[in-house]
Amino acid sequence: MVRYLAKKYYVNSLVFFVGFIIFPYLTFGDLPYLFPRAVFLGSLAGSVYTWYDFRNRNLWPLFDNLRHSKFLLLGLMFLSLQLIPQIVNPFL
Amino acid sequence: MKQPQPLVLDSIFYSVPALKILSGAYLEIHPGKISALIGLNGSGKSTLLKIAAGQIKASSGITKMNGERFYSKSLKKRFRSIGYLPQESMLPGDVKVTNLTDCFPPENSVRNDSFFKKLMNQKVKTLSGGERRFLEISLLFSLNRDYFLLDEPFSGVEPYIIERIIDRIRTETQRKRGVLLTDHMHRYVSDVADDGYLLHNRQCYKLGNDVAGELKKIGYLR
Repeated sequence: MVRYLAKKYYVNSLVFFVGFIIFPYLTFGDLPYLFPRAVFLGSLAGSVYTWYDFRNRNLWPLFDNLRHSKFLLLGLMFLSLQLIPQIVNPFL
Repeated sequence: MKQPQPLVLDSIFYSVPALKILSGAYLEIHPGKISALIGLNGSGKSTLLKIAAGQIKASSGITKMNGERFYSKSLKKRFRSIGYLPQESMLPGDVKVTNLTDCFPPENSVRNDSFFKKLMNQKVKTLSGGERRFLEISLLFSLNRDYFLLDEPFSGVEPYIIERIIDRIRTETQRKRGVLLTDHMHRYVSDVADDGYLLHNRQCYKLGNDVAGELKKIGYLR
């Protein structure tokens, strides 16, 4: 189930990331400045969206039954994405 | 060995801005017994189960097990002791049954059950309502919990599968696990229950061992 949550979370975050980077990039064009901000906002929006999506689909009780802390898992996944700008930005 | 004690919900109050749902509800679930929670639509049965399972917080009230209080902020203990089957399916539709069973303890009976063998490579969304419900219940019972709260386990399920679910519940209570179930299919519920509660006027009234007889006596059943 953790893998399932991770898959959904990272896909949602990617979609939001693309949304947050395309328009500002076409407007300002400063990729090293925009990239970490888009990652942060994308992963934040991904967390919120995934939370509500799982709540609407009534999946959180399954995580509770399996004793997987939803806050901890989403928090760790969010933090894991914050490493990407650290790795990628020097090459931009 | 320490004798397991009942799970107690005491003085449970719950309200939403426009409506009082529970006012001092009291309920006991004993290990090795099946308790029924019966009430009209909208009487607060599912709310009470959700409070007991830690899905929502009561406005006030106490939940105790083995004399130890479960605080509403600390859900760890609650999740360690209580398994909860919500009214609506909690399984993701886009996952294969075999992948789902891998998430549960390896000794779960789903893998060995002939009923599920042909379903293993199907996605959950392709299962019928009854198959899905039976799968949920079987997976839930594979968890090492003391108490199980089942919210409408029989609704939308064919009689053959209901009989299997009832057998499964009886097997689990023989292992000294306590079960609280609520459902509108009174025939099945009263057949299987050792004792029961009627949720009426936002409070729980204890019914005797003959749940069906008592419900007839008070005019709840004909």
